Amino acid sequence: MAVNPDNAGARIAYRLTVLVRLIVGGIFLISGLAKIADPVRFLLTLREFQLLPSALESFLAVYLPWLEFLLGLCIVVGILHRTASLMIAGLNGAFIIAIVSVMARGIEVDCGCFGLLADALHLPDMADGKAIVRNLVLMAMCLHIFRSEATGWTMERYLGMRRPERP
Amino acid sequence: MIRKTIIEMLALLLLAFCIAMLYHVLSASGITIFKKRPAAQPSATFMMDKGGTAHGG
Repeated sequence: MAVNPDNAGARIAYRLTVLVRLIVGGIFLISGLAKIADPVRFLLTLREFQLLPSALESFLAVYLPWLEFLLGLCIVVGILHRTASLMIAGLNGAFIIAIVSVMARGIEVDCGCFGLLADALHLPDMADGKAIVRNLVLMAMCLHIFRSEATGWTMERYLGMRRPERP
Repeated sequence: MIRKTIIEMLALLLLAFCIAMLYHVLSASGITIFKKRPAAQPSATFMMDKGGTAHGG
């Protein structure tokens, strides 16, 4: 998508997309790392949700943190960042369904969003309405990244995978 | 466009799977990136609350 160089609005949107990318990517990068560092805790959190078969819980406890880490990294460095943002939006949708499910059943659990960091930094980590709102905001940010074709500071540009688009 | 996005998604899923399994295998064989945290010990206050003493006597 060609962007008019004289359009100040387009330039702001361009920079905003970079900022949104760094925020969303950074959050998933860090939360992925926090879960990788303590997979047992994440497995126990998954079990508290009582949603999945035991074998799938064990698999997800190993797989999901790495997927979050990889997708976060893709968004931050700008390799396949639009696809990665779409996948993170899908993950957020799945998290919202899981949280709504435990709320409907009256189970009080940690959402497990930030793993070890929740304790270390006293972050809110309960599966409640705030977690749903947080996930909705992240989902909206991901969809913004997916829809914006023009964004700066991407590795794709330096590797020559995409043509440069700068307002 | 849709086809390309789906292929990129599958590639990312597969890459994450490979990395996760590699890390899992390395962890199982004793090679870890993150140090394992020691199991939490009950504090002296906890022991006192349970009717014992801080020295466990």
